[in-house]
Amino acid sequence: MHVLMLDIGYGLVTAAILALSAVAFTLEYAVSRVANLAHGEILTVGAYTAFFVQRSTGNVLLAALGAAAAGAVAGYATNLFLIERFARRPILVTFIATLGLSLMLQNLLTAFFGASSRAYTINQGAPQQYGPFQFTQAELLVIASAVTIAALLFLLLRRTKFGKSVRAVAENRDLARASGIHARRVIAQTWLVAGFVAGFAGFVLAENVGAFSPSFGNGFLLITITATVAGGLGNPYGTLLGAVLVGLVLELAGAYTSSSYELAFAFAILVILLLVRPNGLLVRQSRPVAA
Amino acid sequence: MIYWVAILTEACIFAIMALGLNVVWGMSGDFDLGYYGYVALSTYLTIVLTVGQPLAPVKYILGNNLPYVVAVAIAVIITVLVATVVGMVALRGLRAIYFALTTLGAVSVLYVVVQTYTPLFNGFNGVAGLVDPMGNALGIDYNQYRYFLLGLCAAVLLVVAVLTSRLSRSPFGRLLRAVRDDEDAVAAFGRSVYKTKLKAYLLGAVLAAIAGGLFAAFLGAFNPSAWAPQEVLTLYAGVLVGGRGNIKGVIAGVLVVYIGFVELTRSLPEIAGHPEFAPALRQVLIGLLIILFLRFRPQGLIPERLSVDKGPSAGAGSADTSYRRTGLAALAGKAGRLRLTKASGGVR
Repeated sequence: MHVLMLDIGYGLVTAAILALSAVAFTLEYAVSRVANLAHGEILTVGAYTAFFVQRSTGNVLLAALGAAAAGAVAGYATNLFLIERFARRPILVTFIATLGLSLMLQNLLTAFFGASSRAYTINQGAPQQYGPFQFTQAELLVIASAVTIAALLFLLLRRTKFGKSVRAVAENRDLARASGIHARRVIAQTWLVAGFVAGFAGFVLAENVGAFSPSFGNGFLLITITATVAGGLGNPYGTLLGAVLVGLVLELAGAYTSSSYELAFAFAILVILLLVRPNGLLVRQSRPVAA
Repeated sequence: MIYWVAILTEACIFAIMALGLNVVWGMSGDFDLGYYGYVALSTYLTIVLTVGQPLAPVKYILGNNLPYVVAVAIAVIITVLVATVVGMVALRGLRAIYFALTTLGAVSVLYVVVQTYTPLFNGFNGVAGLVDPMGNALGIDYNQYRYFLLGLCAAVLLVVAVLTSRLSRSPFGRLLRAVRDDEDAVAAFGRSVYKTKLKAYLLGAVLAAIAGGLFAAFLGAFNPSAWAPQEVLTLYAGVLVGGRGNIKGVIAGVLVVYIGFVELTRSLPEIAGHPEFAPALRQVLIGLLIILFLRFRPQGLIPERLSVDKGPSAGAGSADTSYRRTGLAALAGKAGRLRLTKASGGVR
């Protein structure tokens, strides 16, 4: 029982990181209707920035903010230079283009910083008992920051004019424009926000794993996509739920087999979801998947 | 000279892979990210079937000492069986990005399993020991064998090119294009979209597996660093640059991308302490090439030429087949017209 609780605790930490990455992915999808395969690279950029900021300043908070800022720039640039240029093209074309971007970014990082993985650690603090769970201080901060960011995103989407425009553009870009919403600007700002969250997720993931490399974000992409599909692509609230479920399942499955096979579990969940509930767990009536 | 023979041999093998990918993506329209996994699986299988039992600490399955040709045949069969499973899951109701994500997942899992589960193909260190298959039987030395292998690969490429271009012009080829361009219309004509796509998918896997068999003879050894899941993008770049759906274009594209990039990166200066620099830059260029072609010339350098409905004579035939044939011709014609009205052309 005790061990199970510990694993659930780790699962919650994984779920928190996953939630950050997946909610950013789903926001990108919501406004641009593209599954951004270069999403992992935003996390990687965040991790590299955090590493270099911390090495030069020694300040963890600055490192986290630097990662988020770099992620925001990366997300904004991805939209401006790639996604918008393919705005009226078939979805699959844009999708392939993001794959090309992923390849470019990963290898640019390799060319400049080398392919080997770098250690990245921050002071984790001693593990302490919280109810049935055991968390280090750093892990607790991860969960707290994920909950805070989720709450802020909820307020942003539900309580502000910007959030209303985002929802309108996600529903129908043309109709949103017809009602006087500057769709292109709203989309650009959404990518800025998504990049901010994803960059921060990159910092958190690197700090939690303790190392990163140019392919590090990409390795997290399949799990991110699984969580997003579980919640329904483009649905931020469902995605949060999907992240918690997938995080818990992965950690528990990994604990009872081997953590190397987490990816295999993620894939199994993804395929089952795609076949049974292609529009997410929250959607009662599944429509046939049309791209 | 031997250097160029090796480059050309590898280019021929890549061209065979690309022609298989062209059936799946070019004709049938399925963006398969797992395609390179089939090549890798077949390469592994060919090697472990032709070499003897492993010596500790090396571990791998099989090790049957089979003749090369038999090994390739078995490798093709097993690979196609795996592709059948993936295809049956991924093609039933999953389209476009959902299909792509499923195949990406499949190849990622295969990659992780091969890398982590050492008893299969010796994990990260990979399998080795396939030295010039058929060389002894033919009684040729090392240098002569290089030319022999080039000849073999070129011959297989020629056969594959002829067969796929015949396929492309055949009724099945038209059906594939019709499925690619308008699934609903094909379904309305009473054809099973799923079965059609699955057939194309398996045909692609057969070609991937044959290329894998040749790859095994060419490389002699194989390990996970030789087939990262992104490797498939080089193939896509070749197909895209040459002209998706056009056999000549695809071969030309692979030769341009492959030989062009190999030579280009070879002439890049080596930077001390950065051995990854040149290969990484090559991948950057491939990514850039994909994006630029998608954006500015999605139909490729040599665009696909579509057969257009030539009127009633196209449907002429015996009474009971004429309906079906005119139906397909109409579909092909419809696809052709659709294309003319869409400014984006090529890739859809």
